[in-house]
Amino acid sequence: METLSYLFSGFQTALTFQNIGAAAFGAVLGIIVGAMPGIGSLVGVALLLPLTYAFNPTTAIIMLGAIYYANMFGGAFSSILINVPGDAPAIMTALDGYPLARKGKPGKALMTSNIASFAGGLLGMIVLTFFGPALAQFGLKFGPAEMTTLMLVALSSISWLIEGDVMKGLAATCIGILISTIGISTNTSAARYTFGVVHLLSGINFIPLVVGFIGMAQVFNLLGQQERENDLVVKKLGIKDCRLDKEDVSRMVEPTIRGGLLGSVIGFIPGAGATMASIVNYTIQKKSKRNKEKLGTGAIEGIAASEAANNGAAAGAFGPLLALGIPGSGTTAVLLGGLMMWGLQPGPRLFTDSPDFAWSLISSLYVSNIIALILALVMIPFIMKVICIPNKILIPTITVICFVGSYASTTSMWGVLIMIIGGILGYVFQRYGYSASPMLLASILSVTFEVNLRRALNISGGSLSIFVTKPLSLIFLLIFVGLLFSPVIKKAYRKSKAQKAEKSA
Amino acid sequence: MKKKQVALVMAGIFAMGTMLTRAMAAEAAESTSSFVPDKTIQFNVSSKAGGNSDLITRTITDICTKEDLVPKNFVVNNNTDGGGNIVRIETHDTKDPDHTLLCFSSGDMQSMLDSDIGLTVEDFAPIATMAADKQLIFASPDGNYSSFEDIMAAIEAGTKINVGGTKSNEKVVFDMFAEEIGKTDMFNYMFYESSAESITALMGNHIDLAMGSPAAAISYVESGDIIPVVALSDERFVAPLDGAPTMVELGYNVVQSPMWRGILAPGSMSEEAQQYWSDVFAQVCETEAWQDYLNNYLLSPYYNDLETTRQIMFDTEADYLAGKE
Amino acid sequence: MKGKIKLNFIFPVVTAILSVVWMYKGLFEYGMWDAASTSPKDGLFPFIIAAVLLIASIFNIISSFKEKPVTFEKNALYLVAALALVYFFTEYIGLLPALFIFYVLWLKLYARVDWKTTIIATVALFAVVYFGFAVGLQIRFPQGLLFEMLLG
Repeated sequence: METLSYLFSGFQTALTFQNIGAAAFGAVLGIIVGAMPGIGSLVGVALLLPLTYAFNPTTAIIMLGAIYYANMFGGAFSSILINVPGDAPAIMTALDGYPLARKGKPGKALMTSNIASFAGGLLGMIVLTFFGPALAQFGLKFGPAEMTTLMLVALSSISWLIEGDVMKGLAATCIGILISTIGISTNTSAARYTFGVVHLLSGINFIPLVVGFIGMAQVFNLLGQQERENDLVVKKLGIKDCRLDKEDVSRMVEPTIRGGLLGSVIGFIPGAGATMASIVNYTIQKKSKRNKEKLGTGAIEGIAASEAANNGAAAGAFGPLLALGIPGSGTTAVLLGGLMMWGLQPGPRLFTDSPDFAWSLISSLYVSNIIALILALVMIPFIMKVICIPNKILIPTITVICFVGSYASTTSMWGVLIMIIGGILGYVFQRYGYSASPMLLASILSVTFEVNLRRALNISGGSLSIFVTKPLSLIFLLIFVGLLFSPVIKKAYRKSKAQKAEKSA
Repeated sequence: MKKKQVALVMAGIFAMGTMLTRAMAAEAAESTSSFVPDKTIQFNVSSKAGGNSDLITRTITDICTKEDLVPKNFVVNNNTDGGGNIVRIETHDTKDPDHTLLCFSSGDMQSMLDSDIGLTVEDFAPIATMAADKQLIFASPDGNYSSFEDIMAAIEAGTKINVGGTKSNEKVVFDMFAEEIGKTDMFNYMFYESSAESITALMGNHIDLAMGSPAAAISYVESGDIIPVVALSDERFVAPLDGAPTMVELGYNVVQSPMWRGILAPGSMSEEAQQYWSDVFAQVCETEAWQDYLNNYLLSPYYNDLETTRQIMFDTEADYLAGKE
Repeated sequence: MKGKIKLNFIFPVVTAILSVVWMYKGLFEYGMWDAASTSPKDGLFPFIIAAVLLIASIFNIISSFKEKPVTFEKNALYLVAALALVYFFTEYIGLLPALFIFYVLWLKLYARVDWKTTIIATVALFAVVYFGFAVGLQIRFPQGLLFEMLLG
């Protein structure tokens, strides 16, 4: 009850004219910047941060929250319409969003994504409101051992994303991990696999790599389709085409609710974040038997699974930030910097010392979620027409966008070089039947895995028992083993069932 | 006649010569007394927008612009490539040394010296140190050790202690601490990316001790989530960090290594420009906005002139190189 | 199809070589196990992953001979050349002008789009890029030597 009254007074602050205006302004900027390819939420928030300096702290933070939040909505636009994801979670959205858009249903894909974002985010906010401080304490329990086994689960769930040849998928995953080993090692701060190239000391920048491997590689593929001209139905796309029918909505329900809840819990774990949430939720969805279409071919379930988990995690990430002052992700780290600019010390005492501020920020998340949804819905009928651009114009256009996006995300031509090489390699990957997404996702997850594995062994004195004696770690380990042997168990089960059937027959 | 003519010509030449020299001298005098930037100044930063180096740089440039300390505009150039080394190379190789500055902290020292780019502080012109940070050792209230005595007792009993902290300064000063108590092999120092990360690990009781600066730790100390154990400074910190004794109080030599944040210029920057920038930053440090910045981030004022700055930066470099061997 | 050389084995061979390089450097340069800190050194994790990659690569080399031949779009080379040229000319004329020239030339010479569409597409795209990225987000794109000289 106390929580509700706090939330209510928070809404009173958030719903003043000025603050709604700031939230709306932030949401517009957030969506636009999020839709700019290569600019994920991290880059977006960092670049827009200075704009908020003009306001008083509460208003500024409300605006910043809206920017952060609306970014997630906009991020889906470029991955769905032109297959240029701006960050890791968007890779998962592109897996189904882009195929669905190419089938001539860009409106449906965007609507699914935005409604799932809204609902997933809303669930995340409810979790944040009522269980925030408790879950933040829970997040603290994730030390090196727990993170190692959690990442083991996430990495093994990547294997479910592998399409076609298993050995090729395994090779792609390994290549991704090897790429992530380039640069200065976190554990020892020594350089490895840099081959004397100074630029490589900070590793391969992830965003240009994604833009190249998925976006630029896509351009090479379009090149082959040019002769066939646009195989899309270049019919007039109207508002009608954005509507989701009853069946579509019922397909979204399961992945969205699971995504929102799972995402918000994962969001509370420092260092896990939205990428993990969308991978795990997507792969669970992929294993579900209730999918109407196969995931990866343009299934509504896939888009909803990825986006709901992403936004749930984005809301959840505020938990550790507000309750403990710990940034759970790169983006919340920038937000933390923003909070400190006004002399606010986010930390364990924020809720007791300045409850007005903390609660008006939480309420403003609700407000900006609604504003972002409305804005996104208004924009979809216009922005979806991008899909009607003929291939011959789309090819140089996406190329230019990939250059600009990869430069903007790193402010360096080195980022552009990574994008170009990544694009060529991504094309080669596709032609040889190696899938890009397992490679990219393994690349980003394995860093956390290695760092924590080594820390855990360091703490335990080299003994592997640390992974079994800690309860949470043990649970994840059991899940991992279960995942590993589930195909075997299923096979055995089916066999025995078949035998029984045979006997009875 | 001839003699007269020669004398006249000579006199003429002499006169012209004097005038010329005088004019040249005057010009030279003018430029020594006042180098003034006549182009946009590029301020290079090796952290992302929003990072620590970026914040201090933007604060400085904002003050310069708002208070009209510098007639030209600044362009802040963020580039994290190569662990920040690319931007250092760019600064060093710039074609316009008088209009190029680099934000540099003692934390950047390691990244520069460990890489094989072959640059040292000697290749640059140190301009000023602006602010400094000292460190403390923290423990968790529900952990095994809550005081220096507990730590020593555990070490005597042969227990290895897990410590978390960042690379660079925190590591350097912790090594100095371990050496001072003579137990270098009883600590397990683990690198974390940021103080926030290591303090989080401490709060979850995943490690025994964490290094941290006042700014990174103060709110957790206030809330009682972590406790300061040893102050690595020559005097105690202000409340609520005043519970931690200094090494001198504990009966050892003083252990400290202030982490400074400062500014470097290309080695080829002219003497006049160096003096100019040194003066500008001295003025920056006297503004109210700068005081606000220091208070917000719990930093100590640490402005030093050209000569002292050189000394400090070279000393830090020598300390780091000595520790490496 | 007969007589055509199949290139399928090349990619897995490259990944095999890559894995050997990673294993070699991991084993001999970065080390495996650090007794003092009771944890792996920088080389162990990459070594294990590279070993898995090597095994997978060998399987892939074997299976590559049974696959349908891999083909590439001939046009892909044009695009690679264009990417390289834009990158190269950025140093001289700046990123946005290089992209501008690429865009117009590609539309006119390669895609053979009419002038009207070319102009509309070019203006629309570069307005978004310029106002969105350069003005809105204050991103300073590389100027290139030419403009540095002209603008001082």
